[in-house]
Amino acid sequence: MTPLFRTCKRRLPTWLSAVLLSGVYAALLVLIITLLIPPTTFGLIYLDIGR
Amino acid sequence: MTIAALFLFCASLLGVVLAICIEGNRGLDAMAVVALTSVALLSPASAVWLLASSVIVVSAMRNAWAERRKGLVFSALTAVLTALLFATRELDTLVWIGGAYFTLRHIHVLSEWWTGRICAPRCADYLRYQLFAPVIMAGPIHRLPHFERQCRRRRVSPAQFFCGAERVLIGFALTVVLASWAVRRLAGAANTLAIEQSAFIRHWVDSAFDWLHIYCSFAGLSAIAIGLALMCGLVLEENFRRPWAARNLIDFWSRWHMTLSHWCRDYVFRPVAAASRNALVGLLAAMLAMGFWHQASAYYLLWAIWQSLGIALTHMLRRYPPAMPASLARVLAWASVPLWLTLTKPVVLLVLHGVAA
Repeated sequence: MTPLFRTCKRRLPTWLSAVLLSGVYAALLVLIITLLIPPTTFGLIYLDIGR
Repeated sequence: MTIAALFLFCASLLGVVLAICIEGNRGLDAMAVVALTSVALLSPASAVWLLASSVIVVSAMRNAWAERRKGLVFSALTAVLTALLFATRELDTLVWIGGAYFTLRHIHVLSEWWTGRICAPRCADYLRYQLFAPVIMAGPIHRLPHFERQCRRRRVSPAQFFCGAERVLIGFALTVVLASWAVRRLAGAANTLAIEQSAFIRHWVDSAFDWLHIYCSFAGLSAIAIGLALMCGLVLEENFRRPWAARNLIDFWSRWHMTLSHWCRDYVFRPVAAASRNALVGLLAAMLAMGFWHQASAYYLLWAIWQSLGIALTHMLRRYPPAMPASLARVLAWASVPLWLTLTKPVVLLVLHGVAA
């Protein structure tokens, strides 16, 4: 059990904690990847796919 | 986060996979090879420096002649390693990776060996310790006895793996989302608001966001390193323990960059305080070591004096507490920490500019 999951489980039901944490993990991952790879990089990738 | 840092993170991740797949110390040896190769690809000079210094230090400790002249060997090697660290800072035409961290690890091991607290490690054990991939770039400055104990007990478990992975994610969130994005934007907005104010106020605002940025980025990098180590079954020393909850400045320095402050306490403060029989001299020496570790400059000289003054004042107030209710004294002591820390930059710059003028 991870520390964040343990903290959530103390206050919420297990299923809700799991759903909530999955959402948090996914949001963090998307945010980190978006901030790490600047928009210009995405532009280049889309341009290459378009070709 | 730079491309080099991301590259080293990917190399560490590869090292973690190898350490999980290969049992025992061989897994960690494979990780060390990956770490050395990745450092060599980014900065060949750093790889040579790291490898050569590690081999020289461990060979010196294992030499029978050196066993009889531990003090001389310790002093000579510490002087050479410290001089090398400062020399590489001047050679800014080359990229240097991890020198500030592995130099302190060398000095820690040499000092422990000199005082007889540890035996000379085997070459393979020492290289495994120095080339542990997650800590190469930004610490923590982990200790050899603790690391060896962890290596002996190493068991990879799914529970630890997921705890480590979560820690890595939190670390990335701190570094990338908070430090590099949110705090920078907030600092930009605050600086725009403070543009009409005096230079002192502008530096003060700047300093507050500097501390916040350093905390988020550095605590994040430490969390990534600790998380990666946990994923392959090793528990490393913590680097930050809720520094915002510090009750006073002394408490703050035992919570902020703990592995560095503990290093300065053990290898600078204690010997200097014992030799001079004056705790204040030891404190100033420890703060100077901490400051010069960041950068050898007049700014960090004054930084060290300011921090020493803060700690000395805290000691004095503890010994002779002012007459006021205990709860008010606690609140004031807690509030004095961010006040003193954020005032560092404007006060130091004021003194420097005053001296220049």
